[in-house]
Amino acid sequence: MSAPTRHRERPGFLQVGEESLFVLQTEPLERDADTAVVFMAGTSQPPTTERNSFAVRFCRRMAGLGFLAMRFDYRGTGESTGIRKGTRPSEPATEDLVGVVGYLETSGYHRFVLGGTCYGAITALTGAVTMPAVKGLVLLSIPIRNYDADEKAATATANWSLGDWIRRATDPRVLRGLLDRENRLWYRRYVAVKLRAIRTRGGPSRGADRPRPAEVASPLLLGPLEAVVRNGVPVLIVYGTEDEYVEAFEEAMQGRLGEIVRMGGPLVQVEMLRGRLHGFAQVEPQDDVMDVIERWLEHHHGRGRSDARADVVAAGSDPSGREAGSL
Amino acid sequence: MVGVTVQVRTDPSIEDPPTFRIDASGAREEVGYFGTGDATMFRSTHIPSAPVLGGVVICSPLFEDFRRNYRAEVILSRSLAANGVAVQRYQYRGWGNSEGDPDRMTFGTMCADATAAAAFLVQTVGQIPVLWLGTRIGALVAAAASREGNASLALWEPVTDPSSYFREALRAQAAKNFMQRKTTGDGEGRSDLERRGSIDVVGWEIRRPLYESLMGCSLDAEVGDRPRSLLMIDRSAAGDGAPELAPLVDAWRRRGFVVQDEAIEAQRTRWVGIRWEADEMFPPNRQLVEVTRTWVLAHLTAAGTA
Repeated sequence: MSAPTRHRERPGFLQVGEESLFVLQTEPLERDADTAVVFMAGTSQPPTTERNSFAVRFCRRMAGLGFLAMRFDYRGTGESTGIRKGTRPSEPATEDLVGVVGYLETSGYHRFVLGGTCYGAITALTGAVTMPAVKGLVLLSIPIRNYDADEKAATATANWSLGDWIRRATDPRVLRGLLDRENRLWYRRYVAVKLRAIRTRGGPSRGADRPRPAEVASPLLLGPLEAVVRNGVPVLIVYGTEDEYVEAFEEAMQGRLGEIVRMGGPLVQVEMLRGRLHGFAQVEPQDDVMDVIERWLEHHHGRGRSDARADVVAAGSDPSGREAGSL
Repeated sequence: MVGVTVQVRTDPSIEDPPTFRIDASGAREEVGYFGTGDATMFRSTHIPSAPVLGGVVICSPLFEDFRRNYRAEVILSRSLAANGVAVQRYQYRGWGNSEGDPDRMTFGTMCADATAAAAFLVQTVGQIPVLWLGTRIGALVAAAASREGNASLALWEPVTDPSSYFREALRAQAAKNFMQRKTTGDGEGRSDLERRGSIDVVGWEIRRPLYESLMGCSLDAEVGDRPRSLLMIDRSAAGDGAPELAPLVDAWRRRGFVVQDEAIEAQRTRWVGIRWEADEMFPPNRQLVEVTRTWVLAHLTAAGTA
């Protein structure tokens, strides 16, 4: 367990486009690094706290390591202005993130580690592609499929055999469903994903031989992830063993996602924690994931303070509250 | 950065400045802290452009209720400030963005925090009549903190009996464990609380000091016996009403309280999941804000002409 952290928190309003975003910086008492950690919540309200104050504890722990830590409320959430349009994976809060990072750059920070959970992870990944100053990514419980395009059902059905398809297509309920416009749109998506799967396999599925599973990972994930990995950005991917995305993740690792992860070599690290991490729906993984992130940060970015000073702090840690780093 | 305007507003006249924004109505909205050391609490203060009719202190709920209610409080605060009412929101010591040890958070500290928040509002805006709003567990805090001044009190879906509230929480966790094929029941939850000092309820850590301090409390006791004006908003199943509220309202009226009670469409189950939809557009939220704003303005206007 880390020693008690000493920090200073500075809330404020940041004008990004037409909206005022609520931001909260957690600063170490002594700063001698130009790396800032930006954390983005999932769909929790308010994002700056997250469930069980995870975002608060995480940022204070980062400050204890010497990093400037930033968290913020997406537009339309928490204390920010605006109207929230939704939290679809296809609509990450990239504009908000770019604005926040831009502000930190004007404050003198030139290296960024972006971390997020679920929707926040998608936002971090998407933003990282366009920001060369991003030097690390932490993706917690990142969705594999694009749920708002109904890829979950579509990719599940893509693995049906030809016989499965014929049986379903001639089901009277399905035929009745063709009368509904929305159902026709869904069926079109299923067919599109199936065709993509066939192209991926190099041919239609026949007989009892089970071909390589259809690609279940969304292009919204694969494209940006491949881009950041090719750019040499270290990536930490973490799930809880009870997360609903784990099955899809393991399936996706047999496809393109696995190729990208292998391409990254030691730069891409995948961790599975016991319990449910998604939505921070269990307390134990909340603490465990902070330990994992701290070790990963130390490995790739060192501590925010110099190593020598970090050793002094560790040795002189004093619950009475002496300022960190003092002798 | 092309296409993005980045600007931080600070108020340089104060040494440790809160930061602010000016709303479309001209109201000033400040974020910052008050208190010192471990009693440093995060705050949002909404100050009308002029004139100030009065103020409202908002006592927020905890745990899953905190998540589902947060934005509604922000929307209400901005609406009130646009209509001449100052609003003080804050987060309890040991909670959210505030400092303090969560293991020391109790009903007593929550009430003290509410009193401090009211004092901060008056210090900031000047001597004004202050009303109170509390949601769920926050309703007990608001009732207790407002009792001495016999202030008017708005209650959003109040918890009337904390023991039932925690029993519901433990059952939600037991149901979740059952779905995940774990064998713990709510009995085991209570023994966990006693043995480990805390219990995990869908990712929220409920600690024993808070739990024990709330046991034995009741909304009726915290509201007290001196008649005053109450707004009771029931957000349980539409048309049915939470069964524990109607008898309480009747009892208060018999004791001379002036009670306005309203029923607003149900929210999702409190401890499982959260509805993700633009809160500003969600009809029950709009009704909630409108009813509350109307009640607040009526009371402050009447107080001003009294």
